Amino acid sequence: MPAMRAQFLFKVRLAFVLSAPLLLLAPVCMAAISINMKVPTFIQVEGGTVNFLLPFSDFTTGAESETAVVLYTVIANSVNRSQGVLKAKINSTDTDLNVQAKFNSFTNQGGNAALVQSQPGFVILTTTDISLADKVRLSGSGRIVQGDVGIAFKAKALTELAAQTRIKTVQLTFTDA
Amino acid sequence: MKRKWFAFGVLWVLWPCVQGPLWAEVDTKSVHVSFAVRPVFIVKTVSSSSGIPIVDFGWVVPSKDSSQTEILDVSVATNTVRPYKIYQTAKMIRSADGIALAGESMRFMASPGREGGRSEAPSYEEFKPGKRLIFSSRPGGGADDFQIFYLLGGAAVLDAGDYYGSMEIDGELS
Repeated sequence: MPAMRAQFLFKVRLAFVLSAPLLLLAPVCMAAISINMKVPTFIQVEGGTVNFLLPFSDFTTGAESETAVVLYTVIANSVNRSQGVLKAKINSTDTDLNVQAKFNSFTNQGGNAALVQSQPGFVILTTTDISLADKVRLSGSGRIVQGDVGIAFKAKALTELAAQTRIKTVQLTFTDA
Repeated sequence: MKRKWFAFGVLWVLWPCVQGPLWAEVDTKSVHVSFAVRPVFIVKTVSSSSGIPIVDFGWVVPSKDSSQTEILDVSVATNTVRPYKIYQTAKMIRSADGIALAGESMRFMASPGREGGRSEAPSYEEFKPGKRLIFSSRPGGGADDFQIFYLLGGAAVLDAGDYYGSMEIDGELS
């Protein structure tokens, strides 16, 4: 009898030893995978026209030049600011004429926010930034601005002007924060 | 002559002590050993670029004009002849700010198996939350390898931020 008991115990131990590796190989058929990505902040404004002319048809005080509309393409993916997203300034001002700008249009090209004018009508450009456009949320996060902006420019004579060609530089700034 | 007899006598007496008894009983015991090889079915995934199970796009260009691809290698190890199916269960991908990645921004497709398995997502389709059959073994089952391609971008400008998501690749024996 003791021999049979020893034999039985031996069988049990052997079965345990043989089955241990099998437990480790038990069917495992699921894999968990993480997905990560980092999207950097991106902002860009490009003008469709680099140089444009504002011709006067009259030289008297109060005369206005023709209006030139310049299209800018804007793309940004982290526009948290709502007010004063698009600003403009001029490199120098003159006493005999001024240059004016107006937010004319915005065509959305797939963003989830749009640009609207900050104030109606033309504004006189100075050497400090003046707001032309604000942002409004359309859907989702409302942080993506992607589209074409039309800005209208014109000049106004403050005195009688002599025949001449004058060159000015207008700087347009697109801000996201 | 006496010495020879003495030596023989000493050997006669000590021999059993050195070699054991010249006659011994033989006792044989039979032990029955039985074991079973269990069916093994393992789905293993690693990224082609990093060698770990992760789809990491790193820094991506947020423009809609560019795209980026990450590849996941899937290996199925099995000792059965049963056919099987592989599924992908995707969960929402969100930024730290809680912004969901636009559905159409990420797409995926699965390649056919190197051992004859069939792709159930042979062309790019939207990576959207839920369970999707992506691969079927050949009729006789067996180990196989295939790849899943994940394509990001090319559809819309992405919100800035760090995005995190997860998914599961699991298999089911028929």
